[in-house]
Amino acid sequence: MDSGKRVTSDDHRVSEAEVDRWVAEKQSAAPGPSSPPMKVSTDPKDAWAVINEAHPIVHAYGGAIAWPTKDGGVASAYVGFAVLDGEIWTTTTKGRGKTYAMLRDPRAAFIIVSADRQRSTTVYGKVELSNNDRDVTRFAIGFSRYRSGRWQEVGPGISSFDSPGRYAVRFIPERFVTRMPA
Amino acid sequence: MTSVEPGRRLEATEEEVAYWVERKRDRVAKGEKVFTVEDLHAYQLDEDETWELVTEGNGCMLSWVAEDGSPGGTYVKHAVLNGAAYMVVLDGDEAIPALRRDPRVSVVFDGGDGVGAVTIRGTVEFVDDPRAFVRVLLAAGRREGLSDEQLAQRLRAARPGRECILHLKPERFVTFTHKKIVRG
Repeated sequence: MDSGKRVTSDDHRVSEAEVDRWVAEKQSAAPGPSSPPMKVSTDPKDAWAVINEAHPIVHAYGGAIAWPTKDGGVASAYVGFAVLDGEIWTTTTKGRGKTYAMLRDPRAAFIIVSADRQRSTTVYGKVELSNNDRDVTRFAIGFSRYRSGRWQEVGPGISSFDSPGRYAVRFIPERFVTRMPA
Repeated sequence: MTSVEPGRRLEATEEEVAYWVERKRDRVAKGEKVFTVEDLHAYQLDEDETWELVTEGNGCMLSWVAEDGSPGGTYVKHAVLNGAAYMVVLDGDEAIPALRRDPRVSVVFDGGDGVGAVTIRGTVEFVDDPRAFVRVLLAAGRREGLSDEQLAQRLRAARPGRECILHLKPERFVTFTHKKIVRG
């Protein structure tokens, strides 16, 4: 039953006694072996394994795209994506901060997480924005077919891509960094 | 898992694209009202909903600035303790030297299927306190659903000073939820 109380922290998951115990153990233990809990790969094959696994459930597990801001900082947003003929595509519209930023500086990073959340890949590269009807519609069809996690016919929902200023964004990879359990 | 079910193609044929482009031009010519979510203000989360999503999410996508000004990114585990978000960055991650040089970040918390997402922009601070290190690892591991045995292994393998805990200091929130979309 919903008690109505929102759990908005993880404080309840940890007791001070166990923190004390682990701090003492870590301080008394000899330095452990170099066994990182994750290994890192720059092999595109490992990256595509993660991307393809995340891909069918784009609605649940999209990715975050990051771009440089005008002041030299960074911004990012959660976006759905579709892999079309081996290329990663997403979308944006005129008037959004990320659109202006991408038109100004095409460098971007795309972080994609596998469905089991044990592996992730970051794709580094550049974006290319296209607002021609063919590219936008091609993305809309691909995205619509899998957005619920199951293949479905393209229906009236595709009109949500009709807005003027809609761009299809093609991601051009240059480097992959994939993290997976060692 | 395959990306496309057998017999199904995600990619549209040129004929399909041409058909839907034509349909779009018809709709636009008729001035047909269409559903779009271009104005996102109606789909924002309030403060409680924002922290609920941040707390319930499993990991987050951390972005930073590399030395040449390009963006970097990595998926990290996180925990929310005493009202603040903490992230665990693993040994050897490019994020560590980059964030020691420039602490500006943008972090995306994905709420999962049909829920929405929260982006927090701000800075991070490296946390050197061993108690905080242990507390964050325990909380993040339990949130992830690790068993007691897995959690003990994780803690024993952890290397303070090489793995880093980052305290996220938010400056700006951008939120979006699918839950408030009413299609009509």
